[in-house]
Amino acid sequence: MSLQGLQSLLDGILMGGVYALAALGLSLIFGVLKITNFAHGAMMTVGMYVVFALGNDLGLNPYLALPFAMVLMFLIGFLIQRFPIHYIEHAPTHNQLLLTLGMAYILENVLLVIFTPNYQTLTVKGFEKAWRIGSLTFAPAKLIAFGVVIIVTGCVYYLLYMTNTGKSIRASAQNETGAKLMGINVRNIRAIAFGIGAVCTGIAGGLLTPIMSIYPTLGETFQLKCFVITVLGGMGNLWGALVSGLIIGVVESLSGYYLGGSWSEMVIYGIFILILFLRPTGLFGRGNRREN
Amino acid sequence: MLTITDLHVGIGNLKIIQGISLEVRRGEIVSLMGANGVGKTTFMRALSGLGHITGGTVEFEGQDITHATSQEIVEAGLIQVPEGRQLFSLMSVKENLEIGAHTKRAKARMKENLEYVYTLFPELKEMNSQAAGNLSGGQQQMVAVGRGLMADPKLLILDQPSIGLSPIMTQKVLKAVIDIHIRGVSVLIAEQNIHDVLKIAHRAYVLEQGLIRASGTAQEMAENAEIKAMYLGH
Repeated sequence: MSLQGLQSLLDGILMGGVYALAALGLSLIFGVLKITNFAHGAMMTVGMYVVFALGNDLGLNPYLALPFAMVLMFLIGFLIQRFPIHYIEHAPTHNQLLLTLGMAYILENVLLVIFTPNYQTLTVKGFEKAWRIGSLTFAPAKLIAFGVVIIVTGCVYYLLYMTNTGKSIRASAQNETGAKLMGINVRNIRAIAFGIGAVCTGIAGGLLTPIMSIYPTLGETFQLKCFVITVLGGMGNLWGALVSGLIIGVVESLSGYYLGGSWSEMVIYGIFILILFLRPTGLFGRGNRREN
Repeated sequence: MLTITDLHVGIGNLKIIQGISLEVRRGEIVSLMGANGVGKTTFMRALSGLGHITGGTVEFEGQDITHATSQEIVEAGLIQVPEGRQLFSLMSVKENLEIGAHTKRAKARMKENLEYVYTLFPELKEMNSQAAGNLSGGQQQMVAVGRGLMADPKLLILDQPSIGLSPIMTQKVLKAVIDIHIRGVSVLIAEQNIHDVLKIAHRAYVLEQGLIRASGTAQEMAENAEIKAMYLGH
């Protein structure tokens, strides 16, 4: 592999990390809560703009702005699940699709009103120059983003598997009746899970702000990619989502380098279709076992 | 301890339970008997806040819980081991048991209750780290009963715990019910397996088409000619 090839492989891994985090959020919402969330991309964009607004208007470092984005995203996620989605939980999937798509339009249009449809870029002091390691170069924002992704993923894992709240989330997802009979407030627990999913997504968005120019409908490009990653990793399989995120990042970057940028999407969806043919439950899917 | 007066429960527009009055006194094992489809599960679910109660009252320890949420009912100490076990199938046996202790009261007595569950079902300790979904039906029923005990019940409701179990497993579960009762927990148990359950119950009610058809002490029921003919097969 040439030096440029190696460079784009590493770039792909770094970007894949951010995809993985966004997909981790969707995996919680789509895979665990079984809500088809078409507002996922828009929620990601909200995360981007919180970091942008705090950085641009108040001069706050993007990584210090992240906690604010997290709080806001948790509230948005919690409230969306607690009120509108709660009432259509057992409705057919297309009802969820319409409702969450409506949410997406509301979020996007609020952003359009506040921030205009123009492309905007956040410049961060000290990030103007790429960092060099040997003959490889790294955009500092991408490298930091990858580090944050690892930390956040670790936290989500700890929360889901080691804490009572996390156990309640998993229990409610696996058997709602059983959870209710043990005294778990399933309605609140689902809202908390949606909130956590939204936080992951918002952080992923916020991490992209120093990397790319943003505009209010940018989330739509990530929407489909997140669904692909979630399905590829196996619905509700959090580790699967992470690995698939990295795979998609690398495939996108390498195919862009070797075949040209316009090919990368085609290669991603081509591989997606191929894998669904060979393993319909995704790369790391548990098979089609019913959980109730 | 549990007083149910003229309870009506529906599913959609269907009236399933059409006026049941039933009582469980402290320290009793009471059995609710009836064939498949007469509404046992609808009735039991309603007691735990998972049904649409259209009339009547449910009183537990002097507290009106007719329209209480399942959380409030669990907190009051009325715990249900549901039909079909409803375990968290991808989680380990230990995790299933731990989740049973969800309320503050149950958490405070978690260690003690876990020890008791392991004495009652020693095999659960060996299967601690296995996913609950991979166990046999009988083992799963033990986990379900154990999970219910972890919630520190004052009254334990068991909805057809012997369904799908071998005769040996059924005996084991019923023996555990006696043990739980000796420990001071009152029990309401729904069963199709009338022959066995009448041996451990103090009193019994027979449910038919959403109404109580007969009730009395276990001995009266076992000697009742009509019940003998319909359910006991001789």
